[in-house]
Amino acid sequence: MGFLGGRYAIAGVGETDWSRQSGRTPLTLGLQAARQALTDAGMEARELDGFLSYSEGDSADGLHLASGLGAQPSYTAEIVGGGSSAEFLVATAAAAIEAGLCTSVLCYRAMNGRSGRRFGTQQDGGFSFDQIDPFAGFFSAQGMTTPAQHYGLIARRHMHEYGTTAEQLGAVALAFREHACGNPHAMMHDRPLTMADYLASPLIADPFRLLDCCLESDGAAACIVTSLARARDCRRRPVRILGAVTRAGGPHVYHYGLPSITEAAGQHVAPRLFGMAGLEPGDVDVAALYDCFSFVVLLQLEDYGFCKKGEGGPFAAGGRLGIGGDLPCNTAGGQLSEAYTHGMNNLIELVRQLRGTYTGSKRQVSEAEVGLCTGWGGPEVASGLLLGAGA
Amino acid sequence: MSATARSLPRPDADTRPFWDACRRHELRVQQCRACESFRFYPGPICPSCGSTANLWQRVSGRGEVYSYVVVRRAAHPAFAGDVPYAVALVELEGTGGIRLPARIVDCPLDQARIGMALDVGFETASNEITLPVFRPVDVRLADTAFMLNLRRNP
Repeated sequence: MGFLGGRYAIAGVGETDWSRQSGRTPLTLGLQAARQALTDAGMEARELDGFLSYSEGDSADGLHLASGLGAQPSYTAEIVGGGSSAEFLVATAAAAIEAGLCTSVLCYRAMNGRSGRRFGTQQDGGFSFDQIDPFAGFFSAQGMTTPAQHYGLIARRHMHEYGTTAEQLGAVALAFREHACGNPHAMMHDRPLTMADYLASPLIADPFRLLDCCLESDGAAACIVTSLARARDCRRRPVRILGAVTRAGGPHVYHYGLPSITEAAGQHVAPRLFGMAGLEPGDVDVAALYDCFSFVVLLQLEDYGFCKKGEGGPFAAGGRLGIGGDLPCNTAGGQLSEAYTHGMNNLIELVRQLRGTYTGSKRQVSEAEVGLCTGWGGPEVASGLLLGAGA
Repeated sequence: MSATARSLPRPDADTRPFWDACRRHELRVQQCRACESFRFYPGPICPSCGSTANLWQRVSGRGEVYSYVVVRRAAHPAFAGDVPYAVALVELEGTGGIRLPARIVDCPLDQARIGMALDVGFETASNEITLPVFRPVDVRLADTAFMLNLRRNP
């Protein structure tokens, strides 16, 4: 039952500190996160024989990471991509183990996303869509060079069709900021946010304000995927992989040509993901929804079936995303208020919730047995994982 | 390329006919010769019927705003002098709903609306590249934009 018979698990998670200027190389950051994950799992570095990462040419590859840990890899890969990659790596790691290619895999993202290559700026060697998309010139020459500008187009249309408001986008930013205030590790810890603050933040890619946009961060996050049998002997309670959909596309890569641009690629992920695991949206106790922008959370609430199409705004504004709400979401602050790693930090927080790491504190989601982690790398590609508290 | 130059399209075998037409101030969209469906992005094979026979149909250049974003902070220095500016998805008349990304020009930004009727124009960006841009069909908006611009740059 479920993804690969439910025989695979996440056994360890770790991350570095988050900052605007790490003063360290991506390799050093990756090694630090890897050591944290190994300590968390109670595993020896030489047990790791698979190394998977994602980057935009701004990271350290698996061969270097393995060497730095004193491990000898039998399986390494680095994929190009941002959002939707963390879930892809975890599922692909389990599939590689099932195929006999390796036994325990480190999945990681290491980057100096603020002090090094800033995503979307095209400056100082920063990432440009033109590097990976031969059609990007249709947009970039017109002055559309950033993800905020692209998602802004979708948000405007959603506002037009469904009456979604700035305050509803703000409700997402406020909910995640409140979570960051409860997470001493978050970049926006000690920076409480009011709706007045949100509405006063400058419009960047109108309808998006500055506070609709994720952070830019230096740091690394990592997790270790292994067999459930091995994970049961580790220090922490295993978190099982119940369902996985990896970088699935919509009907056409030119998302803006589809009949409706307000449908997320997640709409195509959700039925397969829940069907594979034999679960429904109502079974999800805690979520890590991809949050490169506040608005993206609203779309996923709709397209993963937590509310009807068009009702993501009222859902979020109803206070449901908080710890203790109907769908506690991004409980460490998310990419809007903890740190931005294209999703890996959201994934490891979900693992901690399902382990009951925060039991006894108000950060713990009560009875967290099933978790949903989504990734979204642009309108046209999405991934999802369903995770379960292990036994 | 200098640090402040904007990134221009690099025409390839699939996209060159579009850019060549723009340089002649013609807006053309790829169309399948077999099933007559229009397509964007351009490509060698019709996703609807699989035919490799295609043509580049000249279209009216009229369209309407499907959605738009107003860029108020330039992410790249090449656009620092342009902000604020609006980029729209323009749904092109007579194409079965093809939507092209393009600047809205000669329009006060607070007057931009989804559904607004637009007409194509062309701006030379380099010897090779001419960009399609769109201005409101309602000339009163263009006049207002002209006056606002005059006030800013007398």
